[in-house]
Amino acid sequence: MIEWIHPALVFFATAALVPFVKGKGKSILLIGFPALAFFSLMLFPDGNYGVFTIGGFEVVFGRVDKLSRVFAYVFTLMGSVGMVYALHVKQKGQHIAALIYGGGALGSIFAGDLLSLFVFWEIMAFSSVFLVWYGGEKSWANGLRYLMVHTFGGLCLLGGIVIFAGQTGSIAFNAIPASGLGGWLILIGFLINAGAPPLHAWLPDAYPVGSITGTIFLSSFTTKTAVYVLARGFAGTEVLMWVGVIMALYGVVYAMLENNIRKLLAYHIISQVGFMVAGIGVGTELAINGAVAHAFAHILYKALLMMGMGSVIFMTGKRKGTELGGLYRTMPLTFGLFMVGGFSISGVPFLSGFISKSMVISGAAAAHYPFVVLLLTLAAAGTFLSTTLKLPYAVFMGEDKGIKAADPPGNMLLGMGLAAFICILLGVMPNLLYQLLPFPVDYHPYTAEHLLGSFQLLLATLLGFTLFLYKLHPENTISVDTDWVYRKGVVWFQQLKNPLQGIKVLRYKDFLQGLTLFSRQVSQRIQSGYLKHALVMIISFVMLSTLLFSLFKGWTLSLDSLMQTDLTLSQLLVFVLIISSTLATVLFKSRIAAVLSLGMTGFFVAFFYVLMGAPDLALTQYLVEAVSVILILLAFYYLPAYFEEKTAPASKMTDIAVSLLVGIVMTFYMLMVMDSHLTKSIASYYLEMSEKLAGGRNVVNVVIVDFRGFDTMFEIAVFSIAALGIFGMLKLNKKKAPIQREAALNGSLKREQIEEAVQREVTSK
Amino acid sequence: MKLLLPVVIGVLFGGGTYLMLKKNILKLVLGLGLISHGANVLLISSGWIGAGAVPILGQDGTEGFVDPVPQALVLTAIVIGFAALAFLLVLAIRVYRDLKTADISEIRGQRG
Repeated sequence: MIEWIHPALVFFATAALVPFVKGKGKSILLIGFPALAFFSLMLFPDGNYGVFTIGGFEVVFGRVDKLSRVFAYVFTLMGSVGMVYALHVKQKGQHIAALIYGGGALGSIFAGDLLSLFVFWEIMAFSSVFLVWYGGEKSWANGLRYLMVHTFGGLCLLGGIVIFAGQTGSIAFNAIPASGLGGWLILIGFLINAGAPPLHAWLPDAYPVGSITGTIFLSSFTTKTAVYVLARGFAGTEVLMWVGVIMALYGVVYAMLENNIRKLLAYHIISQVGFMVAGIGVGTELAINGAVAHAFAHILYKALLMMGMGSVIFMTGKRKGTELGGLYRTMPLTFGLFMVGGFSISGVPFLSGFISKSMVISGAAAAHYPFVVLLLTLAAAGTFLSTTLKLPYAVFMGEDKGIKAADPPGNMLLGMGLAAFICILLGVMPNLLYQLLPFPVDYHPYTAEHLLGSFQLLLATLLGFTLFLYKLHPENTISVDTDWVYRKGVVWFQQLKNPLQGIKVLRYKDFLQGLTLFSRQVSQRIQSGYLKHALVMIISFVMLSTLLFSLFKGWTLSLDSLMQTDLTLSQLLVFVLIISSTLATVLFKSRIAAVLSLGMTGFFVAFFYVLMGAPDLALTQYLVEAVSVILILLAFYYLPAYFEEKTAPASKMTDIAVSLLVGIVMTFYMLMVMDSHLTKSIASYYLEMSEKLAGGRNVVNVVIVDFRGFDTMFEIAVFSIAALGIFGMLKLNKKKAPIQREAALNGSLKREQIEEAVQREVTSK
Repeated sequence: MKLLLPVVIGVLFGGGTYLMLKKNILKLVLGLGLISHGANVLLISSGWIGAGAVPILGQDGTEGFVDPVPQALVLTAIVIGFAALAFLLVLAIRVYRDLKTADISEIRGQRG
């Protein structure tokens, strides 16, 4: 027997199975599995399941108690109902995203520690954004902003968790004091998801552009998960009470001003969540019960309202109150079901909103917060006014715009019907909900006082509505909310395209193009194609790195050793000769003089070898130098006579500067090298073994032909390759190449053509 | 000696570089020749031990000789340098024959 089945796992498994089913199987899977998760919740008693120890911390995946259970009930219920509504959707990605999103919400609900809470929290954020993006091309920027805000919230949460865990040494998720940086960061992370002003802008920004069916899930899970974690972690935190009141009023005011029908509902989410947050802030058992009950009821009736407006958009394609009107004739069922939701949210008796909202307000009253009661009541009136009167008036009643429409497909109606049924069921039988609440309930909504109060409020509002109807006509305006901050700040994000509409993710292509352009410009600058530029760059780089290397290596020049005057006259003479012949090579304007100077340099270098005790080298140098000079003179015959060239002064300065750099660096480098003896030469070995092993007394010769014989062999190989290259360059006729190219281009070359080409070659010679 | 030898090497390298930066392909060859001289002198100098005998063994021990290893290396280098010089010269000739120019800056981007 399995100890416990995590409902999140059921959702994830369903998401994994979705790609493989179609038709009826898909319907059964999509509705059946969340329903299965719903019923599985009843099977298992309270307790901690799925406890693991990770890195010294106890991770609890399944904390089942009354608080988490009631949220799980409504989430799984909503999963099923929402899936019924979404059955007609062809894009399986939407279903998968919704299921993963629901799984993330369930995982957050059951998380008994902050670490797994954070993980599921992020799963929620990153799966839900796809539901926004499935709203179409225009939702891309909104989704991105949504994701950014949630990523920021997640970061706040993570930072808070790290600090909190560091201070307390535990990651268990229980009551968290709203003090210290850790506690506050966690609270801010939670409140961002709850949509508390001024951190609420993501909600009315993203939800109205989400896909029609996806928005049902969006409005159900994220904010209510936040309500759960607030109830779990920050119950009785007084600041929350005021945050909740502000939310309740703020949402209502903006809802009243709003023209986009789904945005109006999105603002109402903020308002309604405000009731819950206020209840949590009050913190008494009754108030928390009220908050939880309200969350439960709200998920269902808000989903119903969203479904209703979603159906309108689905059938008409219009999203603004000013564009709609008179739909009650063409969409009667939608209208009826929507009104059930509308009356629920307003707290009309015998509907779910009544039994939960009055509980919150009673909770605040019982805890002696009269001001809170007053403001919440005001918000409730505003809710009635905007959702139940203004919105349906604009969409379903009002001026008939002659829009052709019909009730939506059966599954959408069925989804709405299910939600409406539950709204009525809870309103009529409140104990069904009350017995699920975390604290024992001794609350009776249907007292004469309550009923009277509610009706008074509702009727007064209705009166106001009818009196000021002419003022409440929907106006095609956009209200400025805090979202203008990041709307303006990151305005370029709006230019980004929806990733689901082709491969334009983050403008990846543009990024690549920019990169290519950048590198092309860089390499064009570096690789101009001129040998001179390349040489200057290479030489400068090598010289500077040599200089840096010797500086960092800490090589120093000891002036004392430099001043040793062990210079003999012959050495001095040879040095002066080498220097002067080198300068002559550089400066002579006639090519013959320059070549002869080079030869002279070679001969003087040979002198130098003699002085350095290397007669073999001197001999070789003489020979090679003589042949070289002859060779170069021979080459003159084939080369142009001009030798001297005109160089621009600036270019000449560069040449001189680079040459001086090379000369000076080499000089200093040599000075340092001569002063340092890094490794011991292996000379002593060769000197000792030369005669014993190789039987030769000329150690240099023995090294070349014996000890390092292979080196010499490869030297010969290099020599041969050079000879082959020279032969090739002199003898092979390059002009044959075009013919071959031609052949390659034509694909095949007929024998006659080749012969003809060869003939042409021969005659041209 | 110790002060002047590096100067000689510096002049060889600097002069060679200056010639290599010129446009005439023949100057490139000459510059390379100067630099190869410089490299050879540098290597030989590193084997210098102040004063030393030619490393040809007589009867009396293995002391007091200059280092034979750089000499062997440089001997190879001289020969290779000659091969490179010859190759470069012929390359220059070929370039001039095919492209009708001995100006390195004009060779850029040309196809034979």
